[in-house]
Amino acid sequence: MNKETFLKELQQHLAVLEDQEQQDILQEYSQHLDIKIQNGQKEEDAIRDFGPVKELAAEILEAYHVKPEFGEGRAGKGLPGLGSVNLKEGEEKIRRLGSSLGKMTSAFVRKIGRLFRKAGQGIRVIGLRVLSLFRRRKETDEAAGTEETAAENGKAFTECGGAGTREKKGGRKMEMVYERKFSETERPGRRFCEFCRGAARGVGAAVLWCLRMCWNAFWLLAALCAACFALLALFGFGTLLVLLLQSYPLKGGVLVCLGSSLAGGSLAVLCFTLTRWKKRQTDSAAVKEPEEKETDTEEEEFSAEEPDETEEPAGEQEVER
Amino acid sequence: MNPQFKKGVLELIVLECVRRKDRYGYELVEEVSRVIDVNEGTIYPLLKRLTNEHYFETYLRESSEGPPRKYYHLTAAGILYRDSLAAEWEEFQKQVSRFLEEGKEYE
Repeated sequence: MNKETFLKELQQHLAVLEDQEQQDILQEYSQHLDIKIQNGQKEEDAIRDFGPVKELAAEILEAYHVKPEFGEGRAGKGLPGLGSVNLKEGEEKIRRLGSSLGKMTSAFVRKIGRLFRKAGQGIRVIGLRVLSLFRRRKETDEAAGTEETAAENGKAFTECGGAGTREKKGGRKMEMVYERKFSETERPGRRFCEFCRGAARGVGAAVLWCLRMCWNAFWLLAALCAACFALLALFGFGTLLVLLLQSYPLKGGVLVCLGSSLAGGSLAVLCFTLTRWKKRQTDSAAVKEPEEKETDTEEEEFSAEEPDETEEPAGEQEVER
Repeated sequence: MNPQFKKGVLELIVLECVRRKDRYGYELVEEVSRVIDVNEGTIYPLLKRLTNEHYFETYLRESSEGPPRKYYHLTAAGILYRDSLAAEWEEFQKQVSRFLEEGKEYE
């Protein structure tokens, strides 16, 4: 028997195994024979040292925990026997099981994601309510401020009006004085009010800004911590997985690491989304605020222009007269 | 030597050979043959099994003569397995020899 026929016969006995495995083991035997022949042994003697091919094949199959009868059956028929069919069916079953398992896990992960999103939305709603409460308070404060200013203005008007009725008796020249007085008494009040309003607005903005910064910093810190934890857990998971593959009994540890890495990761994402939500809020607030300011300034301009307009025609009339 | 004895202890001898030095198949067969007389063919399936059970890692290395050779290297799990086997062997051997010593009283 020469090397080729020996290898062919052996392959027939090992046909139950995967092609890759067959090639692997046959290559070892062929290399072994090559070295023996190189060392000056006869080809036939080298092959005889292996003993009967059937027994050798049985031993190889035993190493794979395959019943040697299957190998024999295959070799005798030379056609795929019952064993291989069963094997293929089993493989398909395992594959189907694997794919369904994968689907289940992905669905599970999606569900968890949805749950977290809902939780996030709930927190967002609560946050929005708190924010709206703050805003309302601010608005009421501002409204109170404007009422006060209006009241002051009214007082100034009535005073001026009183002065005016008194002055009217004194003739036209006094009208000039009245008008000057009107503008003089009105302006300091207005300035004071504007100053108050601006200060209040500034303090409010500063407080809000501080709150936002604190909020962002807190969540960013939390996200960072969670991410670090997740990365650590992932590292542990990888290491333990390698050890597990080297058949250490570490299934529990691997599962714990996987779970904690997933939990840490999702926690980090949750924290990060919270900070981003706050940023968006601030963006929209920043977009809104200038508009508000613009309207405010426009109103101020209107209110500032009104007395001027009333003044000017009066002045012109005076000049004409 | 009783072939059943050989079969039982062959695994330990192969593990010990690879622990000392990474070896390729033929070298390993020669080394094992120095200790016990064993059919050359039986060592390859054993190597295959131990590799499948992650006690060995294999890698290819070029050789001066012929194609690249597949070297076997003992993994951490393999070292643990070898140690446990060696301890078992020690215990087994002691017990058997103690039993045989006891038997001398009956002579």
